[in-house]
Amino acid sequence: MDDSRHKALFQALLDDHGAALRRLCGGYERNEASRHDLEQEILLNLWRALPRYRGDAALRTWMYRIAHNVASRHIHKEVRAPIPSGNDQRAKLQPASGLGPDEAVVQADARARLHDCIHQLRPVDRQIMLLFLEDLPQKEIGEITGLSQANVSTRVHRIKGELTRMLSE
Amino acid sequence: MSEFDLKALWQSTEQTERPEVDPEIMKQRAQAFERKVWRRNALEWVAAAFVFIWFGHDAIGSENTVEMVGNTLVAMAAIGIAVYLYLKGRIKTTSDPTSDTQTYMKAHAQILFDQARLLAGVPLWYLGPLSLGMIVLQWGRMPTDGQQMGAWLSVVVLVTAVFLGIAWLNHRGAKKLRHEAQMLLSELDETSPQ
Repeated sequence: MDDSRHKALFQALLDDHGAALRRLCGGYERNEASRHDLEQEILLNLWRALPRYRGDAALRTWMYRIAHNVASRHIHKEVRAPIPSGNDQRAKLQPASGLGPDEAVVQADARARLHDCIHQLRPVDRQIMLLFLEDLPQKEIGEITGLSQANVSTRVHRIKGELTRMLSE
Repeated sequence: MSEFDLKALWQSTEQTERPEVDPEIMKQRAQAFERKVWRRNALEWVAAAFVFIWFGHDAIGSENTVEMVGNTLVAMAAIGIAVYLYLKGRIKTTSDPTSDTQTYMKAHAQILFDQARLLAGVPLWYLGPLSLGMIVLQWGRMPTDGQQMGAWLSVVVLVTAVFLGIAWLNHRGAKKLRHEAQMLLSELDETSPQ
């Protein structure tokens, strides 16, 4: 792959899926500095792997595989060397634009609770849920995680129930 | 809360802007990463060459045959270790990030087990050959008068302590890697059946 095509494809990937990548990092990392490190690690891996992309899978599936694999390794590394808590993203949640002050506060609080709940999930469940929340079909979630569609379906149903219950409490 | 509410809530997070990255910077980072790997590999050869030249030179100027054999053994061990590491380095050290997560994590766990085996084997492939050379060398350098015995013994004790320290650190590293690999595999087991 020549240099200009490499750069163009990378930019296109970020244009289409950059925001989802950011949310993914937020789903794995609460600490701002670690989240930034994770984002950079994912981007570097995407850049290095891009010349080998042959189109066997959809670009989105391919990207999510790399992103989740890097993130999974990242959180396992942190089990070995835990990062002190604090400076987490809860405090950083900003009200979404277009909402009144009261609604914005309610929404920011609900989002913070959703993040809390997601961070409490086991790594595999968290991965499935993050993909589900990005609106990926279960077949594609299966292709990314390596689980069967039936397994994904069962898990999504269970985790969704857990999340809804936790958020309603 | 419905499924749609959950998705809408998640996608309304403030992190909705794409990361602003200059591809040229990514290219430079990737090149820097590859240079780092190259430098690390080169350093192993430089270290081996240094030990080979140092002890090889001493072998030529040895005062007796035993000392010469000891120096030669250490010099050869340094080259042997570098070759061993080179051959081991050709074994896969990173799993393919484009594979699905189950496959990726299994491959990663296997790599961790391989690395743990390499670290656990340090007394055999690293310390063993060097120790053999050092024992013969120190035997050749053993002083005949009591005055120099203290200094000679200090060297022997220091070298032994360093070798034991290396063995202990590697044993600990191997244990950590095995634990991490087992944790990965146990998590994958919980996700079965597929």
